[in-house]
Amino acid sequence: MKKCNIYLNFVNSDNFDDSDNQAFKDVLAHSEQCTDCSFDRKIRENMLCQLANTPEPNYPTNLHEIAFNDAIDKKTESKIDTDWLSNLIIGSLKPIEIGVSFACIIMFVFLFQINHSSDNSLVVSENNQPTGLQKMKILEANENISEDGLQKVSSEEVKEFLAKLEEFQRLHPESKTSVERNRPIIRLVGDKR
Amino acid sequence: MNKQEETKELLEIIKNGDKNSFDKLVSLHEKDVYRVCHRFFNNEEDALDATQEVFIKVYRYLDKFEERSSFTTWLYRIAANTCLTIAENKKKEKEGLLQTMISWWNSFYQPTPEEIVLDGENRVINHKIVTDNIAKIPEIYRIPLILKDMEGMSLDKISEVLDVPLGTVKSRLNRGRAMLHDKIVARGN
Repeated sequence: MKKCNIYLNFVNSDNFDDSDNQAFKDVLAHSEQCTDCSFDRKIRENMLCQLANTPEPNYPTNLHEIAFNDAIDKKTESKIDTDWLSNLIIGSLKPIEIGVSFACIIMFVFLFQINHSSDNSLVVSENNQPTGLQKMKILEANENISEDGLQKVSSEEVKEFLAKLEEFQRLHPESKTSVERNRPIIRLVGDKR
Repeated sequence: MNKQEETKELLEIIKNGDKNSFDKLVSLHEKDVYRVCHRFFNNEEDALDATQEVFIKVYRYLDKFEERSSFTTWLYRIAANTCLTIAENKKKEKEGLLQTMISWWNSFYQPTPEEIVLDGENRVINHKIVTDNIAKIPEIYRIPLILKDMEGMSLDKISEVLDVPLGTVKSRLNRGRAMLHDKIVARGN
């Protein structure tokens, strides 16, 4: 549908309600001659007519109950809440809130001090110094290790052992082919056969 | 005694401490508020929610009402703002992930033959087409359209209710009408 400028300009202007306006009279005169503009004007008129005569909605039977009773109830409830109940709850929760936050911070700092990569959780990371209690436990653990009767080996003994190993490998070259089979078995002091 | 005089009298009684008269004040205006809300939302549930919200606000702020404008202007202003707020909140809800998924799922929906027939019948009921399409117009243009073309309010009063200049009301109304017209024409094609 093609609409003429005279009609479009009027429709897009904000003076549409002024029926005494000369522009309105011009558009009326034009639309009586122009089929497209006349058709569009009729749609608009029909639309405005429908809008003006829109039937009233069906009012729910509980409209007053909702509008008045529930509104008053909600208002009263909210008033009670703000008056003392909510103040009481908020007041009593504040110290707990602060306490929990403070405890979380302490826990966070403590957890960061511990070196989680070590099996022994008492070993402290390099950057942090161990506390008094941790130092005592570390010393205690070291003492226990020395009491287990491990022998101290001098560097000469190690050299001698390596020389023997080399000699053995020279005499038994087949041992080099099967690395898996001849891998030395390491047995610790407490191990049982 | 007309509605305006009765309202004035009730307001004086309420302000003098008789809160029970609020019941009568609600009875006097509840249908007007509900009608505007229903025309705005085009459904009963939202209209009832909005009506209730409007009267909660009226009850809460009645002491602060200074009668610089008429009570009905003030009431319509609360109603308009409440409708806009509820619509805004609903829009935010719709933007949620779940709603997006529901919309995506609904996009596969195909109307049944019965529904197609009913839809065809709806085209004949013009006022239904109009009210259905009003609900699709952006809220900012919808309110002036409802107040002017459905409620028959003057442009000056709408300007007072919406607290915007007269020129703004005119342009919003014009834009709203144009949108409604386009939707109706598009539906007819």
